[in-house]
Amino acid sequence: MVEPDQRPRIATLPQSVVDRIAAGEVVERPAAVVKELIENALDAETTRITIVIRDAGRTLIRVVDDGIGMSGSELTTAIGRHATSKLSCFEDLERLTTFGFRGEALPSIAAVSRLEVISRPHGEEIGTCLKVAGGRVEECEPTAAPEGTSVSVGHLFYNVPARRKFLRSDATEFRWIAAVFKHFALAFPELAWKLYRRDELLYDLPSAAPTGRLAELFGDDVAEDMIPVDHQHGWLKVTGWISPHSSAQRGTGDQHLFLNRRPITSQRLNRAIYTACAPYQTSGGYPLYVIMLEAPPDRFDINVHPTKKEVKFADEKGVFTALWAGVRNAISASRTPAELAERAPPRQPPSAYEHTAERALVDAPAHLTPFVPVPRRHGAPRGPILPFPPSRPGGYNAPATPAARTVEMTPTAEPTVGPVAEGEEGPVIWQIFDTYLISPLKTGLAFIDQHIAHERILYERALTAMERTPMTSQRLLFPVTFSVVVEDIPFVEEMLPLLRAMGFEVDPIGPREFRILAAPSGVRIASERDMLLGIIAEFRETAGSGSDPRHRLAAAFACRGAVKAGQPLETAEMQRLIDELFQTEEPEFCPHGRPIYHVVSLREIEKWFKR
Amino acid sequence: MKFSFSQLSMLKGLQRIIGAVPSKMPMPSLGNIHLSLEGKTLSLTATDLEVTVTSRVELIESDGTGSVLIQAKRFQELVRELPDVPLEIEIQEPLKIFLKGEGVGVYTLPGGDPVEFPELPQVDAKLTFNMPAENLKRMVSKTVFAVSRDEMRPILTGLLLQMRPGEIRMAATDGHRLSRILRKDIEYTGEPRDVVIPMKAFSLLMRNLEDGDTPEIGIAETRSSFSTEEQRVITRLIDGQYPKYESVIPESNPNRMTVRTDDFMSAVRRVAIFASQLSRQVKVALDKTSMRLESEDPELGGRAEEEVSVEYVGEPVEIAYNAVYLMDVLKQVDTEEVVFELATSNDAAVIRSAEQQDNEDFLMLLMPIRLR
Ligand SMILES: Nc1ncnc2c1ncn2[C@@H]1O[C@H](COP(=O)(O)OP(=O)(O)OP(=O)(O)O)[C@@H](O)[C@H]1O
Ligand SMILES: [Mg+2]
Repeated sequence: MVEPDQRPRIATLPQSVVDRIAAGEVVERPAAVVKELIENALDAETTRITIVIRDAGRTLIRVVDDGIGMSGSELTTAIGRHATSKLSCFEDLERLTTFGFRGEALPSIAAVSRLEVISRPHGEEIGTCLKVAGGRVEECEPTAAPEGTSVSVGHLFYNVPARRKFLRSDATEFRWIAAVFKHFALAFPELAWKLYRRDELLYDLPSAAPTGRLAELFGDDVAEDMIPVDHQHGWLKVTGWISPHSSAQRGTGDQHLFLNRRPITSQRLNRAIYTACAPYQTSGGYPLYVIMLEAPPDRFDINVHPTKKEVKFADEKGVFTALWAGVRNAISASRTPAELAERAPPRQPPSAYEHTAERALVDAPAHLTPFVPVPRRHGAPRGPILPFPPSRPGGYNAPATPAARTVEMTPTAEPTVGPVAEGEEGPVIWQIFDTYLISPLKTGLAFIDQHIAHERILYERALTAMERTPMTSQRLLFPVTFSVVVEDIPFVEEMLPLLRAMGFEVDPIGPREFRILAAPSGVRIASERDMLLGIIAEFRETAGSGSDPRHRLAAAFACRGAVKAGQPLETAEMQRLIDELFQTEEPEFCPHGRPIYHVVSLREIEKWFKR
Repeated sequence: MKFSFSQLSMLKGLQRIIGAVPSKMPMPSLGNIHLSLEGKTLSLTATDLEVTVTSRVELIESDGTGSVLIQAKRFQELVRELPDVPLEIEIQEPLKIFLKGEGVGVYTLPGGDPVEFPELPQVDAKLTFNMPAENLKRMVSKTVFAVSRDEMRPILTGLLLQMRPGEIRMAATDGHRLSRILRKDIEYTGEPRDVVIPMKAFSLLMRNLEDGDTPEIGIAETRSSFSTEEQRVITRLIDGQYPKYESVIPESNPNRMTVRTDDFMSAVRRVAIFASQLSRQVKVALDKTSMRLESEDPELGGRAEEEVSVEYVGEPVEIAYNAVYLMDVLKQVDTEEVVFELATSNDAAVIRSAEQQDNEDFLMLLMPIRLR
């Protein structure tokens, strides 16, 4: 039994205790203080921010700005709870463009520290110095001060021992502070930033262009590697930089996501970025990114959590998609080594559309570009003595037959590996093991798998044919017949209209017998039947996958129609293959997700030789 | 073994056979030329195992008999660079070939043991006939364009030679187009026989045939030979069943278009520039007096239109063709006008010269591209 006078009595907490509890929500650790003070400085329209940290913020956090400043009376008000100059009615919340709006940060900090604010408003002669300890104003005096505000937070949590114990090691706490600093320095490259640890100037970032800021924070190498993202999706704008590579050693520290320049964290949005990068990542680890979202204030709610690090979008799914698409488009566009891409003729008509789906609707014909053989350049000067046609009409992958080869006057042995110079201005391409193409770039060497590169081209061509413009179809002099097993008849019947769009004209001539009357232009002569049977087999095998029959058919067509590994190619064929590859929507991956090419950078090569 | 010869006659002899030396060697000895001296004649032989070519070189003087292998490329390069003076080759044991001549230095080439060279094929010809070189060349040149370049169906990579009493035919097809020529002025009295001859044999043969030659053609079970005074080409025959092309030649296409060959050709050439890279499609629209040619390049943009006056008897029709095929066909026509016999836009066109040569029947078939 509890003694009556020992029973806790219900009573209103003294204000000082309430403040200290509330403070815990806003300022849970030194980094949070730094964040609040930086935000205040930014709201005060500063042009330079200098931060001084001692003992990971335990003994001192000082943030100095040259912003609008506060007068003496404003200062004392600012320390009071829910005092803010940034919001006067609830509706303002929906149009918020400042970081602060609750009027909670300064009082919360003041409640758990010894706070000193020195401020001089622009245009005023004299400044004010305000000293607060544990929430109580101890001093408020005029003082000489530079324009702007300097907020010094001393002995954080001196009166909240539990909080103090809760802090991690100095190293960890400082890392969090530095992360906050980096976040803001990235979001506001136009401002000059300085970060001191004790007296050591760790960062001295003059006002810079966004790319300049990247280079200063991550180093030139990394910054150079980063791919710019620029994507508009309805009301949401996604910009920034991403590097799927230089992440392995970086752990998770360097992901910077902003909404209207406010650093935010979102598991969901991070996942959008990760999944967009995943196929491009060569090693584990997280991608390094600096991604800025811009959205009108009425599209999201920032007032979810006191630290404002979390954000709620009305249309979460749309934001996820936009972010994913923005990042994926950027990477897939730029992972194409620029030189390779430049080599390919421009897409026609040049598309102003960025979004893949939209683009797919407008410039379909560009992806119909063929892979037709062109005459052997290096064979030409020797001169055929028979009137051979100028090109091999056999199809895009018709090999040079012994007959065609021997038309040359001099049987110069052709090197299996070696530069195949392609005339004066043409770039050099090698084929090795009759399977991989190597194309030198200014910055390295690109290795391309000929089979899957061709698969990608044919896949998109087949899809285009089924979804928009049917493929041109060459009629055959000798129609080819084939028969299928009874179980396959439903598949074939499902396929027939799609096959027709793809350029295969197939007529039933018996219960299980069919006749091929025409084949897509470019399909190897006499391979029509094998190809079709292969396509049917593959189509049957993917029946359970539940994916769109058109995609299944396109993948089957691509797989069956693509040049095989082990097939020698003419220089011009290689050139065309590369050109067309980089005109596809996704030159990085085959329809099954395998990578199509790999670039060995010059830097990597130099490393072999310890340069 | 020792012989002398003029630079020019050796160079000619080499040029006849050098094309048979394979560029990728299945066995090292094939990079050699087989020299064989018998009395006053020297034979040079090269082979890739499918086609073997032997040429005869006239000698100035000779001493002894025997044979040796000599590096094909080196030897040809050397002979090409030598002046046209009498030269002498002497073969000494152990297999060294010395070449010298007046005002020329001394060259030593390593010789090869002739037993390493494949045995020269014998043609036990059951059927033989002679054909004037001009006729043979003409028939080959009119059909060769339609030979398939794709090994997918090996039988189509050769030229079909059909021998009938009083008639010789040649045909080639790649499944999209076909060319067939027959001549009735060649004396052939043997039994009917069809053989398919690899293109390479013809390309080697044609290179060296001269007007006035009358090569003897011999057909054996698996080989055939083409022989003149100076050379002999022996080739393996391609195995298999050639498609029954006769049955796909339309007998009575109802529509008939006659056009000046050059006009048509130059219009196609121009319009083809704007054809799609993939399909090479050119659309042909016909009415009584004119033909409209149209192409459009969906990949790179641009379109072309041409009009050519024609004489057309039949229903107005629209047909699409692969421009490359169309040009190939027109190239074979050596008369001022060409005749297209057409049916629907899905059917093969029969193309003939407006006038046929005496004793000759030459036609081509071209399958259209589906119009959508
Ligand atoms: N560095 C500064 N320069 C000028 N005025 C400042 C500065 N820091 C704070 N103030 C003023 O003090 C007020 C209170 O600041 P405080 O951070 O407590 O609230 P807030 O920024 O309005 O909202 P929040 O709690 O969401 O941060 C601000 O509204 C602003 O008027
Ligand atoms: Mg604030």
